Amino acid sequence: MDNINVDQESWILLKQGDQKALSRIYHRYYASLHQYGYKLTGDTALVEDCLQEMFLYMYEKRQTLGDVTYIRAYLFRSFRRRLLKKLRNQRRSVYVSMDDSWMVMPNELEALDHDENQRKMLAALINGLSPRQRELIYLRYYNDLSPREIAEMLSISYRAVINTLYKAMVKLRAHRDKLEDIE
Amino acid sequence: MAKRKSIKVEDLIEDHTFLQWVKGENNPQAQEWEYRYHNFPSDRKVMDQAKILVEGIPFNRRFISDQKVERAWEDVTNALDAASKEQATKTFLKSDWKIAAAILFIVMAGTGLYAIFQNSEKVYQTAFGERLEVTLPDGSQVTMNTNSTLRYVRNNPRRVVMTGEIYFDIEKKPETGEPFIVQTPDLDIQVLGTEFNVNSRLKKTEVLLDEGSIELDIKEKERIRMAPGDFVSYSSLENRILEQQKAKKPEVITSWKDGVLLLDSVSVASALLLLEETYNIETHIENSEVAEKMLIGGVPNDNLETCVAALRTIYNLDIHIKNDTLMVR
Repeated sequence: MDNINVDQESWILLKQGDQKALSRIYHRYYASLHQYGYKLTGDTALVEDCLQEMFLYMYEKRQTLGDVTYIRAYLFRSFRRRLLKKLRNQRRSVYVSMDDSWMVMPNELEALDHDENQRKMLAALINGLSPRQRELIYLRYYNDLSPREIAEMLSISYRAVINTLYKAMVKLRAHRDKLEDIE
Repeated sequence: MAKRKSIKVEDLIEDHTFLQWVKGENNPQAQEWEYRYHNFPSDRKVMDQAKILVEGIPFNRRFISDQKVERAWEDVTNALDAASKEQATKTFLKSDWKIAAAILFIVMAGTGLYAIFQNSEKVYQTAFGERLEVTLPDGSQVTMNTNSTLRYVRNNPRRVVMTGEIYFDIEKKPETGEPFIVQTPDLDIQVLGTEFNVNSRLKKTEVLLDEGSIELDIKEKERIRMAPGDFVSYSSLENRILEQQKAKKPEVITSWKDGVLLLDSVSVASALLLLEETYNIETHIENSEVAEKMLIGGVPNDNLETCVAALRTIYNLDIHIKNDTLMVR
């Protein structure tokens, strides 16, 4: 019925070696993972390499895969880890800056009343938030992960997810109201 | 509602009757929430919080095409099951349309239509704050940033001369192998079907390769073969390569195509220089402390007023425009 149960079923079949189950999981989440990875690294080739490796790994190591409640959170989590590892190797640095990850482009936003300026302004406001806030905004409102999945994926508490999102949204509103006052 | 239980944000954001109330639907459950909102101040606070979270950001979600997903899936299955060689024939069939296009090209070239324009020059130019997308006669797509020019002689549209900043998405010509050449004041770029960004402002030329393969022909010096993700910066004035490495965040370099000027950990002083370049304005800063403040984020690159309002709001800058000069206090 719901996605989580469908995923659970696919997961069990995958562990039994069913390639169709891998295909189902792949097709359900590939585009969303791709988008997330691109927003993190800006490097399509790197994103596609990581995704291919990850799905191959999942199939090859299917017998050693554990039980997972949220398949999507598992995928995003292991994909994120792979991306960061590759970035660290590429740049020969332990620290990978995410300052310019998850930048919002105006054309990624819905134009209310076809107001082009409003989109540009909202994009600028979101881009003024911290990278962590932007990442959560993408995960929640673009990739459509539930707060519980995000918590699982990033190994943070459910409360922390809610609080970070809430603070970000309040800040956006405060900025928007301030702008309206000026106009 | 017989007994009122205390409510929590986490319960509300997953309660579909609550979502109905947020959307402004008018059914009994939504009305119950409405009643609660107006009569119980302690609930109201929690409901306001949950409402903000539920409303979210109005994203216009776009993902890569199903075809691309399918192509990537083929790679996975091929790797999983390397024994099967069937895929090779499929790939061959896909190039059928290219053969058709080649035939059409030969037929059209034979009609002599191009002769009319033969030696005249075609020039595209963008003003400050303007961006322009152009499809060249060979099908190549270019996006021109503000204050840039692109020119070519009509009988040879695959050799272009540019200034400013331009993003190229070049059509391959596998049937003739004919290269595409971009000339800047500093160097020539030889192309065989690919996507790349060229910025030849500020007395140097910066090239970022997104996809495919290109070769830089640095006048009277050397040739550099670039791979996807490579970034090269060369100045003929200084007669040296300023930078040659993997681009750290290619999308930062090309974000101008989407109307965004990314401020990537830059000081207010350097941000103002970028704004001068982008909007052709003077800038003036009074306070040296403010000049050193660091900015991270993206502002519009094609609307000065929105850009200034964003800077003012996000970074709390005392910034305003007066007689074509951007003043920061």
